[in-house]
Amino acid sequence: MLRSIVKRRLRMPLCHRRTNAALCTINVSASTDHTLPAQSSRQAASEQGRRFVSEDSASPSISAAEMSKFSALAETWWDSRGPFKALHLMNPARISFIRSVLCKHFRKDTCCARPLKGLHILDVGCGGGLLCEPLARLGARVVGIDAVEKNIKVAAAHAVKDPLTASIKYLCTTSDKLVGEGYEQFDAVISLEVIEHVTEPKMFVESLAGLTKADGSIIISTINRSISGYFLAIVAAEHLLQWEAELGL
Amino acid sequence: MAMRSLLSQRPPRHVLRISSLSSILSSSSHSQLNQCHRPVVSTTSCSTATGGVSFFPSIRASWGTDQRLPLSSGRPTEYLARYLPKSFVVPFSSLRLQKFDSETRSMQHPASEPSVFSDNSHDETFPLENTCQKDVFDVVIVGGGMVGAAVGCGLATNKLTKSLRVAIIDGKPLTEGLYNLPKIDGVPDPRVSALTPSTVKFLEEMDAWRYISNCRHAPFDSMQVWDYTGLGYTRYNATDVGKHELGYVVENKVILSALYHRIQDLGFTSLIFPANVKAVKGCEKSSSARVKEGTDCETNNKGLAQVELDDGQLLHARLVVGADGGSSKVRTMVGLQSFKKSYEQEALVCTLETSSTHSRAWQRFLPTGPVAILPMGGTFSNIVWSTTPSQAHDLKNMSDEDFVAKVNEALVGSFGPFPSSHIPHLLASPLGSFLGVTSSSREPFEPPPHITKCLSKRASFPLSLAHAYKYATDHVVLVGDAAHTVHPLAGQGVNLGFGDAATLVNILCEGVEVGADIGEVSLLERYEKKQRLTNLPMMAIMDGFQRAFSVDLGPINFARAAAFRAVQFFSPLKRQVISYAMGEGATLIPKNFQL
Repeated sequence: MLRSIVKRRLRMPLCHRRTNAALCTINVSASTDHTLPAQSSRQAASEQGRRFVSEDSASPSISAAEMSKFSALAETWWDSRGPFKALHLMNPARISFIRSVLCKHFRKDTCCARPLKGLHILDVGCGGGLLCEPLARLGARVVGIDAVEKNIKVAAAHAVKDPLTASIKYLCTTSDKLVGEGYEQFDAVISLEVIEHVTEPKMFVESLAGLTKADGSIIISTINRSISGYFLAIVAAEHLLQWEAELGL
Repeated sequence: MAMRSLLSQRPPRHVLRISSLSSILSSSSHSQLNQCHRPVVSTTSCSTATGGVSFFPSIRASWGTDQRLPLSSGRPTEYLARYLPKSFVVPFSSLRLQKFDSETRSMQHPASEPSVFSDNSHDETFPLENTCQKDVFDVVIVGGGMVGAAVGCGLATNKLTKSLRVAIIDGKPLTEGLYNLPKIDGVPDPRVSALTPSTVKFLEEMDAWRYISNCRHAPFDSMQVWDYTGLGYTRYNATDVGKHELGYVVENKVILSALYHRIQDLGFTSLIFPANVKAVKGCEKSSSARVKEGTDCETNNKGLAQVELDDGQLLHARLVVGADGGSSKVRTMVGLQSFKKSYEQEALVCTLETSSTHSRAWQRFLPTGPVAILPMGGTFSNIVWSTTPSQAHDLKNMSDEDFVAKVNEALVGSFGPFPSSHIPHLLASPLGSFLGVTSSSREPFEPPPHITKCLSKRASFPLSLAHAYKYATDHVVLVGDAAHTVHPLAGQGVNLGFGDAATLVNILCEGVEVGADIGEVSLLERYEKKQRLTNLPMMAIMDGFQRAFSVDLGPINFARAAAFRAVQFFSPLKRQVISYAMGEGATLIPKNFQL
């Protein structure tokens, strides 16, 4: 099973506390005495030809109405003062956390400009690429996936504008499909603000594990389970519902 | 294509490049240089070059015999070729002057040169097209003056930013006397700056101060300010706040040399173009939804700013730093408005000789403007005389003896008597020292030193108050005089600029730490917010002083005299004034990221 789960409460400055996220890191380490469920699911998939994938319910069902709502806002992903301002405000805090965790786990020098050099990272639910681009600038080789094709197009169009981020690969797929295809395994799999939207969280996490190398790292973030988080996220869901619809979830 | 044929008819531009020491030593050789027809500018150890007087390497150039030289006048390379000897000496650390062929846009550089684009050893499946990215930079600093060089030096010193690809663009011949520091016993240059201790701390953190401290610089530890009415005076001492110096007077070219030497010593990858900027454009705003087919790994550089040079080269930059002075072209090109008010004054500067040595700064406010004497070490002093343009013109053109007489008259003569040195008994008594009264409150008024000779040419520049409404826009940011100019009456102008440079470097470090796009407006606005809070109060106070001292009305004169006496005799206020003027503040570069 998974070796250790480290939950860290993210300390964010006041201005970032619109959605309090709890970032959870799971260090997957190699162990020979028991098989990981992810490996078994991979084997099952390869043997029985996508049986796992057909059971997959982690791929969100996106209605056409929600998608059309989102497409109107596609261009505003990268406007730091636009509808996704909260994401932009939250981003530096998330990146610095991810950076420190990955540097510690992979024993990288944290005091250089590109500490994640040599790491292959997968961003599940990348949206407009808000996380992929900083990770690419920090030196990692990044693949971003999202189930909504519009997001992928927006992300690809933005990433191609800068040579440093032009190497990011964007795919319109889900984590389960990637596992089913036997896609490569990554050093780190990151899924931020996605798990609260999937219908089968356990299977989703298993698919993430299937995409992670034996000594890799999984980082998941979700809304914090605190009173303020509850109120801000649920009460603000009147806005966020529209927000989630815009995201295509 | 037409542009390329046009460019091919021009002589090739020559680019001054500072490369890392190891790459130079490992890859350069006589035969290779002659073969490639590359002129080499190399530095020599100090003892052979200048007879052991200066502490820094100087530049000698050697050219291949069939090297074509640019024909237009005033180009720095022509100056190099004509006036520097043609000898190739074993480099202590060398600069390489390379031919930047604008036709092919290719630049041969050692393979080991660090670049943010070339370290793709792990990218077997993601090959980047690096050969077309030679004109893409992380930071392009337009203007290689003190503040621009400080930004470059700060970026070079920080671990997070030292791998950034930086280009400094300056139109003036950078190499003219840049690395040839003046002899210590020579006459100081009249263009000087008074550096506050906080600026000195910034330079120390970048480790550039040791070059200055080994060269000519003059600390001053006290100051006397009075005006022409003779109704009051104020004296400041460094001991009032427990320090040894109030500031340092350093020649501008010494500061520049120190910064460039530090950049060079760090082996910082930076390209210095002797060129002028013709156009600066922020990044194109295009719809993010449209994706061109077939742009899998290629980049269209649309997210970068563009800098066009006057010789037709086009550079792409993530961040353009406008450090090109008060009449900033970058500021006008990107459409940043600024508030400008001309003072209708010109400042005249000159190096003078005094009858005795002193380490005190003297400033007398005349009806036409303040005249200030700054010590430069020994009997050298520097005068900054802010006056009307017509008087400045007359002073510039009169003979040396007449000028010296005028200066002496301005300092001690005609307008009014010396202020009386009446010190309240309370302060003069022993109880005063027990109460913590500053030592300068008990000092009498001292006449300024007598000027004996004028030692250098007189130069003048117009004075104005200017402040940009916004310091930053998409991928472009302003620092130094491009963002704000002040009256020199308190010597704060360049210190505000160095503060800008320090804050900008900090902000860029924070951005690089989280992988942010360093040209993003939200990051640059954090820099702007912090610096406006520092710059605006200082500018308002300077402007207030200038207005207060330019009015010759009875009540205003008495108010000024009262202010003089209040600051002179009320020690807590004086300490606050001194601390503020010295720029006391927190550490300017985060310690854990320094080299």
